[in-house]
Amino acid sequence: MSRLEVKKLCCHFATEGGRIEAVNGVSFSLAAGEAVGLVGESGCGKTTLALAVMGLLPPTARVSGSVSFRGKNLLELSEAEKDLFRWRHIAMVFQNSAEVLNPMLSVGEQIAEPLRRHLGLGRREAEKRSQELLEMVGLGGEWACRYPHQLSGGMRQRALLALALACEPEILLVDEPTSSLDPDSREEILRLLAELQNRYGFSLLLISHDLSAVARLTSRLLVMYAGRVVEEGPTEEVIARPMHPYTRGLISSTPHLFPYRDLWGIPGETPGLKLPSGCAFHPRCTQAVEKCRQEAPGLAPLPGGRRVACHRGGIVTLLEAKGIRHEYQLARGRRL
Amino acid sequence: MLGYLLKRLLYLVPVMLGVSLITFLLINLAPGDPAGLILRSGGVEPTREAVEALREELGLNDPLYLQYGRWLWRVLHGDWGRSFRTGRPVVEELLSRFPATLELALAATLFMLCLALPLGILSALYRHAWLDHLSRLGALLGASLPGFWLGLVLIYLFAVKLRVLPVMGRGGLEHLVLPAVTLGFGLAAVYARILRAGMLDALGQDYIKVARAKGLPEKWVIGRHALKNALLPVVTLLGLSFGHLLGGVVIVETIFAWPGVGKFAVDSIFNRDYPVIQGYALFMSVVFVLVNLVVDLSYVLLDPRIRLGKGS
Ligand SMILES: Nc1ncnc2c1ncn2[C@@H]1O[C@H](COP(=O)(O)OP(=O)(O)O)[C@@H](O)[C@H]1O
Ligand code: SF4
Ligand SMILES: [Mg+2]
Repeated sequence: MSRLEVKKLCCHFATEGGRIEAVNGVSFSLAAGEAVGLVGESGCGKTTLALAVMGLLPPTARVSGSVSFRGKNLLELSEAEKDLFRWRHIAMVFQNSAEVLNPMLSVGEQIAEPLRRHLGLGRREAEKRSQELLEMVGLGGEWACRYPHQLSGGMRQRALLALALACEPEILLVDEPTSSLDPDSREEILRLLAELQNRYGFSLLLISHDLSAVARLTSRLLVMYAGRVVEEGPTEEVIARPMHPYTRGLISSTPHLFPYRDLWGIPGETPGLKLPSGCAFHPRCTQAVEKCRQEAPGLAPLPGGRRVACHRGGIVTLLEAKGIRHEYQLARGRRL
Repeated sequence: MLGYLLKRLLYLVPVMLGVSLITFLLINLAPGDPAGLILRSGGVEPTREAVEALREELGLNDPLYLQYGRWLWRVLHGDWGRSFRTGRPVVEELLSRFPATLELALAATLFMLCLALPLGILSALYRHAWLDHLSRLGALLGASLPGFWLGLVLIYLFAVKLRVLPVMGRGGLEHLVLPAVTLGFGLAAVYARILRAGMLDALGQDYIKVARAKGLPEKWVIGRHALKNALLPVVTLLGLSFGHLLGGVVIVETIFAWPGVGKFAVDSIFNRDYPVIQGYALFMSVVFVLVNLVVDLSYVLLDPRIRLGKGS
């Protein structure tokens, strides 16, 4: 049974420069305890998707589709009804930035707020619990009375985790947990995240442009390009055998997964405000055909629980080289 | 912290010296003879000899540096001189009138906050709605209309036409309303805009999104998360506008015949009551510096980034 079911989610922003189609018909589900990765270059709509699930997009956004949780479509709830879900059942680890925590309130006060609001804890209890939460993420209870400006980037990421887990939500959306962290802190945060998921069993949607981080923590992968999911499947398999040309490019440009990044990568640039017609990837695709310019491909199922959105059924293999062994024997006196 | 406080208090010395010197020069540059004015206050034209004798007695015939030096020497020994007009010690005159001025200034500040806080918050929340436009217009008027004009209009409307409030003088709460409104209005309008800008800035920050995500009621998000941050720039500017308030007090007290130090100072200027003018300038510069010190300290206490510094 899936805990969270997102169907045909669209988020369009009305701006002075025209309409931005940040998320364009995304569907996916999160099962209980499942860890799903959402990857894609920056600007492809990952954060917008998460904010839409939380019901936090600004009034300039038009949201359609459905986000089902416990038999309710969250998109149709009033703000007051949403407030009962937010953080209590679905929490989010926001992208780490200097302004993500309120500079005027201590870290403990900020963690205590959802505890008091949703769990009805008193001031004292909430204070004690927020210290425990900070200890749980390896920060130590004494950090509760410190202020955000006293935290380093890595510490802030831990505090954000403690904050998100305050009410022990069933679903956790984590946005770019490793961005702007040094390699050591990145390691620690990834380890901590895996450990916490093990302990609490929440469903995890891990959003990142860091494919190798996602590969370590998730069992299923969604690859997003220009507001659409272009490929979906078991994480290991998608990375080992990408089906969409964009996924292949993404893997090739991830140094942890693919050491020859200079040789591959994705030609061209990410689309700007105006999306290309048809398959949005066609200007950068090496195997585009005429149809790609005209029609947007839908996600079509493939064997092995995988899906790909491509008119050509995914990467076209011109030369199957696997399994072919060529033996050259250098015999004496013979030329090669 | 203590070192900082001492440094700020030490800073009072050059300020007081400068203010008193400039006041002294201005007094002496302005035309008019205190001796003549004092003798004429009896209604009889004095003789030239009488005026000359009084000038000699008051030390007005000495060179300027000697007059200033003598005044400074006495002040340093705690003697602020006596009023030419009343003959009573200057300090006594100022202190006896100061409570009235303080009352007016506090009432004006209170009125200012009662108007500026809700107006600033609401015009940020309902940006470009009618209230926002109204407050923009108010700020324009508040900043451009002279205080005495507003005072006279208010007197005409509420005291002369409607007869609901007294025209002048000090007494109960009803006496306080018109002068306090006159004094506070301009600042209120300006502060409403400053607060609005601060609120808009705060509301755009990530921590507000986080606060909403936490499922907090909107009034917590606004009051606890946005307002706390938006008030910082307001507090920073409060000290500066206190000077504005002191200047306004003089005018408002004169219009409403409010028996405070401001009105007393104006009367003293008309009567060339040199010791009182000097004393008033000195007194007000001390008050100004002290109020600014209090504002700065409260800012330090309010903002944890300054209170605690980095790290530690
Ligand atoms: N509030 C907004 N108003 C207008 N455009 C927005 C807004 N938020 C995001 N966008 C646009 O939507 C697109 C997706 O952004 P985002 O979801 O932040 O991408 P990602 O998280 O994948 O980097 C971008 O083109 C961005 O400029
Ligand atoms: S649909 Fe066409 S352009 Fe898009 S990925 Fe497939 S082949 Fe390339
Ligand atoms: Mg993002």
